[in-house]
Amino acid sequence: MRVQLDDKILMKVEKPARYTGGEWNMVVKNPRDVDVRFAFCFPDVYEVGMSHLGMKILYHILNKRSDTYCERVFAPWVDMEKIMRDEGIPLFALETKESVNEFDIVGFTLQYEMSYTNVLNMLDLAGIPKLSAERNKTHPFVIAGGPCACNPEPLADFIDFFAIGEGEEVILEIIDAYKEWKAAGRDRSEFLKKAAEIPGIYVPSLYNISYKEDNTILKIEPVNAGIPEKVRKRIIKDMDRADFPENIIVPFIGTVHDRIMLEMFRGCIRGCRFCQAGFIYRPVREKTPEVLLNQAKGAIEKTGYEEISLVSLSTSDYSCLTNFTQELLKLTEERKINLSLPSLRIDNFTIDLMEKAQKVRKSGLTFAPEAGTQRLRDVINKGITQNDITSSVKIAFEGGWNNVKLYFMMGLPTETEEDIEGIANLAKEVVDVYYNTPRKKRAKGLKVTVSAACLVPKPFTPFQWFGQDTVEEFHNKQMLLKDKLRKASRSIIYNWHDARVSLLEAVFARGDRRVGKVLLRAWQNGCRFDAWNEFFNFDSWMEAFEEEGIDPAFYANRTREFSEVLPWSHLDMGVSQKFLQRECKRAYKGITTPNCRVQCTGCGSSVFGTGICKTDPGKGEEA
Amino acid sequence: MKIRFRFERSEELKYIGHLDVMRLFERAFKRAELPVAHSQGFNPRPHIVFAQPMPLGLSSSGEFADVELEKRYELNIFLEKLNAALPDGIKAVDARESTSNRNIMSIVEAARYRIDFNAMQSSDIDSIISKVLSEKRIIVFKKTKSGEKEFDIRPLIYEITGEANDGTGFFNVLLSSGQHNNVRPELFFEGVRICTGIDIEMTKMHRIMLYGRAENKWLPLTDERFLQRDL
Ligand code: SF4
Repeated sequence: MRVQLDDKILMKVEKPARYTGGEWNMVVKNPRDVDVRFAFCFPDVYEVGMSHLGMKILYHILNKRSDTYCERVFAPWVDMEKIMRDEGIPLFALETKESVNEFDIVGFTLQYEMSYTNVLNMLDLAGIPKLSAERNKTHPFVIAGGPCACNPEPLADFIDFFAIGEGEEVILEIIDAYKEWKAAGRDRSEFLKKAAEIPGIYVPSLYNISYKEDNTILKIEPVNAGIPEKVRKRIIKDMDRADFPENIIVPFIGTVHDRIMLEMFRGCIRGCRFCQAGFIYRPVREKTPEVLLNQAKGAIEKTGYEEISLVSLSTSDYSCLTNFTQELLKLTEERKINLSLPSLRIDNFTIDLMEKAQKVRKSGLTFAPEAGTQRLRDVINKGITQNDITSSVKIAFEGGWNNVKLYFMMGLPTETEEDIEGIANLAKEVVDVYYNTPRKKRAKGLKVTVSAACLVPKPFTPFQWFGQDTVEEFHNKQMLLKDKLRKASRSIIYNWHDARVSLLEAVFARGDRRVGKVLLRAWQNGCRFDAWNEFFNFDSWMEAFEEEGIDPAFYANRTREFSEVLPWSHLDMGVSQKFLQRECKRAYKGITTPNCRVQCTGCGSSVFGTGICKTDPGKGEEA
Repeated sequence: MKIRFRFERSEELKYIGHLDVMRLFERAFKRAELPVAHSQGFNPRPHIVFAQPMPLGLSSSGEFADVELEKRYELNIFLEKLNAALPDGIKAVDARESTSNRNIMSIVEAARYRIDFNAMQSSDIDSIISKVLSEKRIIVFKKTKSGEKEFDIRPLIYEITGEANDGTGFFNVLLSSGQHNNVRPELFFEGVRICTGIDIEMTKMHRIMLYGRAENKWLPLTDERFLQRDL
């Protein structure tokens, strides 16, 4: 069914172009000419979803196949949802405006836990049963991937299967298997079994979970032989050869990241112990500068974008940064294009680079000390010293920057009041550096923004066992910091996170299958767009927990033993549990671990036989 | 060289605002590899100037813009390159070289619209039109930065014709437009409501053409008289 959208609907909603498609580079195919229709769903509003690089890559890869048509679907904003429900308009895809329940495969990308109710809401709007067990031959398969899929259990009841790890290759294998299954005209369950044979595919209904009396997990086991006991993530071995879209869609309306995103490498050498991305994307795999320059050039020509941004977990760690950025600058200057260089460590070279790249505005500079004292920075393995920070900001102030953002985290293991005070002291130090900068050199009007997030312990990190601070503890620390910062300087602005959101994130990041009921209930209670302040309704969430008889503290605030069977222990992201335990112990002792480039510490990711683990001979799994 | 071009935007692309249209053209010029001259200074901006903002929801067949290019192009080549880089729903239809120094925005003095409507009561279109035209003053409230202001739009309504059938119909109106005394279709409708008391709802608005005035005539902005260097 093709949805009819006219002025009566579109002139009533905010930003109607969220629903109209037709952007430059949108792929147009006749859906009757393909074998497989794929609805790529981003469970948030258009401007957020269209900023996501992973979606652009998979959209491109799927649409390169002549037998497949991949279309985009976003969560309708609340105004549109209301109209859709009132008028009986089902969830539709932007390309053909046809309803999503007519597609073969509906794929969600899971980027953050607080988008989970939107997944349920989108299924509901599509008229697809929310529970996998209730779907039959007439329904699409509902699949999911993305970083949150490394603990997929909270969504196990709703998603038919998950793709673990990087999706570029496995998604094509899914399409092949689907075509074969469709041609053979077999049962729905047959396809699920077939899918489970594809490396990297996890079919939750094919696993039984049993529990102990204390509510922890006793066992996770496949329901029958032939189903893998462990599912290992997929990765792209050779980034240079990985398909990268140059003809990305150029939205008409502004989006969060409205620019070309050039992915330099995957993974991170650092191993900051709170950072999930730093572990689940291992090992580091770089693209060569030649490939990147070609992709940049192609994307500039095919999109007309006025800005290009480097994308990676840590720009400064790119091995050929100097040469590469110099070449890239030539390209962008010639074409009057802005170059944005996020997550760059500030030194004399990079400040010069930034001067050249962003002639226009001296936007804020961002530093992420993450913790207030050296002791605690050692605990989290953030290899950055007070001196690094002060000398960087000195360079920045002398270069005319006057707007500095400092990112911290609260609720880190072993944290004391002293560490919280340390945040204020560090911020004060930065202010002092500014006032010690000669008046002639510095720009007027200092602004130092301190943001302190609440730690959400994540699976596959050394803190995966750690009990999160309670909302109250977070609140006390926030008030303490607020007070200290107020006394430190008037130039400091303090932003803090809603600890109640972090609590929910902690539940769904480390929850098992049983928390799925809470999700469903919260959705029924009206929760959606939980990542948006204006819609976040903590009380409805707490009611949902109560109604389902589930204690959020069990998942969020409880510290686990190493021996506990974790809900994701049947998934293998490369990093070994042994390594994570070792890192956890070192954390508590305040011992840092060198990065992959200095020394391989045997995290387990060398099983993939690629990337940084391979480049230096003598590196390998430590005994 | 400076080129003045006329463009159209169809129904499918009318759901974006003026800033989006501007950005769309900036990117299209980049894709087309038509080198747009940039302003000097701290924040170089491409020299593309639109005659009149296009509000969200308005389709049009008579929009104009000036663009300053760093190189010379044949006008038909210019149109070809630009159109190849424009998305469906927006199209450049005419291009002329301009040697005028006048800001294109200051030329606009009127706009012709076709405005579709639903009337809640059945009423005779001719009597509505003659009622509006017979008024001496039609006072509406216009939002300004400092609150609402009384605004007499009657002298700014230059022509009205229309047709209606069973409660739906359209007006074809020529309204004052431009930097001063701009009467948007919504404001015209407000005026119709006020002086006739009829509950009438606008369903669609389409700009047929933007005009400047010379030699006592309403002329499209690509008319020779607006393209020559001012004396
Ligand atoms: S195996 Fe060694 S080099 Fe490879 S990612 Fe792990 S620690 Fe780094």
